[in-house]
Amino acid sequence: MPQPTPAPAETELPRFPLARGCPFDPPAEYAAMRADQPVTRVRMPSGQDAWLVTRHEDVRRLLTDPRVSADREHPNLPLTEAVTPAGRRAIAAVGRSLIGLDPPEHGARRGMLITEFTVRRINTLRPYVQGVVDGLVDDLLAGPRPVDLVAALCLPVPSMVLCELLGVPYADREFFQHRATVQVRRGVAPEERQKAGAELRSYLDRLITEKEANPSDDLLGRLIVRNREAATDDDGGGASPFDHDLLVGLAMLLMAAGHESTANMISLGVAGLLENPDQLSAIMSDPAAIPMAMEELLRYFAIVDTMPRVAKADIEVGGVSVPAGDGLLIGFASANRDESVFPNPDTLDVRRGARHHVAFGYGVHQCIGQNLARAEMEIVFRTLFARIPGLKLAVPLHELPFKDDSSVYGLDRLPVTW
Amino acid sequence: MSRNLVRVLADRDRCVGAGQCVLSAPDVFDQSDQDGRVLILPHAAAIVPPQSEGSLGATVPPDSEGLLGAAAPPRSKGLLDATFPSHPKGLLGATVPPDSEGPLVDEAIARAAVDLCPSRALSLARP
Repeated sequence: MPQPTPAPAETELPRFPLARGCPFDPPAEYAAMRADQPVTRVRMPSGQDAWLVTRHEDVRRLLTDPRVSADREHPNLPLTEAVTPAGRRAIAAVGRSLIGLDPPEHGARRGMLITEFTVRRINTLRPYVQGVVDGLVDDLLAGPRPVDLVAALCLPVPSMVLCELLGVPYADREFFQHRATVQVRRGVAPEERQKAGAELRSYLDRLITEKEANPSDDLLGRLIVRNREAATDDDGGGASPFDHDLLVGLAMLLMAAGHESTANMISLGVAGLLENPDQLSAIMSDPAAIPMAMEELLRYFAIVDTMPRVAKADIEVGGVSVPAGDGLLIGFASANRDESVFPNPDTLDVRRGARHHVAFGYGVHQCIGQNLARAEMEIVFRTLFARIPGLKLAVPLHELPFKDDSSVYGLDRLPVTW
Repeated sequence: MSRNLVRVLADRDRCVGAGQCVLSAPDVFDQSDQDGRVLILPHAAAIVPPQSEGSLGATVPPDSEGLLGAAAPPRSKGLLDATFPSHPKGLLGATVPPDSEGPLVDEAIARAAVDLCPSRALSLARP
């Protein structure tokens, strides 16, 4: 039984986030941590201390451990970026809709949603996604070169798909998309981004009010109906799993989770394949290999570096004793480069054939939209490289603006030409 | 070497509908249209084809044998049919209680699905 590990003196604590060396790789220190100290105490930008978990096995174990909480309102939940009290309240509000809940409350809430995200349901969205991608690639081919692929393709695809998923009326889609994009564009002044976010929130609030009066056949409309059925169901104890505010929080969560993250995977994936032409030609010569190639891009880039959690009880993991109440940083990116699970983990190998990465997390909170993300990625990569086979970076890789200071990794811009 | 067969058990109360099992073994698993949770297809054992490498997790050793064929031990078809009547996919959910005895499935395919399941809703049992 390991002894409780005394916290190292303050000056010795590694500062989180650690710096990246190669822009495609997680911080190099993760490999040494996996080997020597797989659960390491780190200091957050917020001043909090947390335990960084770096091995694949420990990551999966903790994410299926009922003593580990996802509570976004716990004071020790590690924050990867310094946030204002207002930001903290926004995180809590989104968390209450789904991602910050623990079992059994979480299961009841997620259970209301999973029919919307089954493999079969998502497959019915594929023709819409294909149409969106075809239209955007038409515009690319008709437009000037070089062009920023983030603005022209990576962000619009998921935001248009979110409109379709949530049931945003066609007349409102330009309004919605513009604000959705401004909200996540980091070149834009913070006040302008906050304004766009607030407008988006009040738009979704109104949209949900309309759908409550007249439920439409889309995710939000169907959820409103299921909500009422659950509330009147004798077995449901009269509980209404999603009230109005929780629905708004959920819509904001789906925006946050399904927009920028997908855009980041597309931009990094395009850059990654353009830098590894042998890998690109491997998938172009065998379109049937594209789905598994997407799994490899997800593993390799692991855009969500860490996921915050809190220990609800004392937990022995990776040779240390994590005391109850301490913050945990679950290392997705590190786990995806764990050499004990993925041979030659730092090599992008589209033929690897490995699904057991944790790019979408693990445990009951594993990304509910993962199959939508897969569909979007498959269609974008298949279509983009087939229709613009001469696609290339317009600037050298090292000049690309990587999001080094963001909790979700990606590219701010991706100048390409052909 | 003959191919090992195991039973896959699904605890539908634990399932969170991520769909990982469906992606890794679409001939064995499905998701209910009613609640999104896992379904084990009734005749999975009989229809499991040799999986192409790459459709499984890398933890799974490559199959030593291509086809299920004669490796399947004799089993009471009548019993299986009685437990899992041939229903349209969507209706099956209601008829399969959690932890019911599942069909026989190739062990490598079953292990990959159990490993991938994020909610630990799947488990193996020897036939």
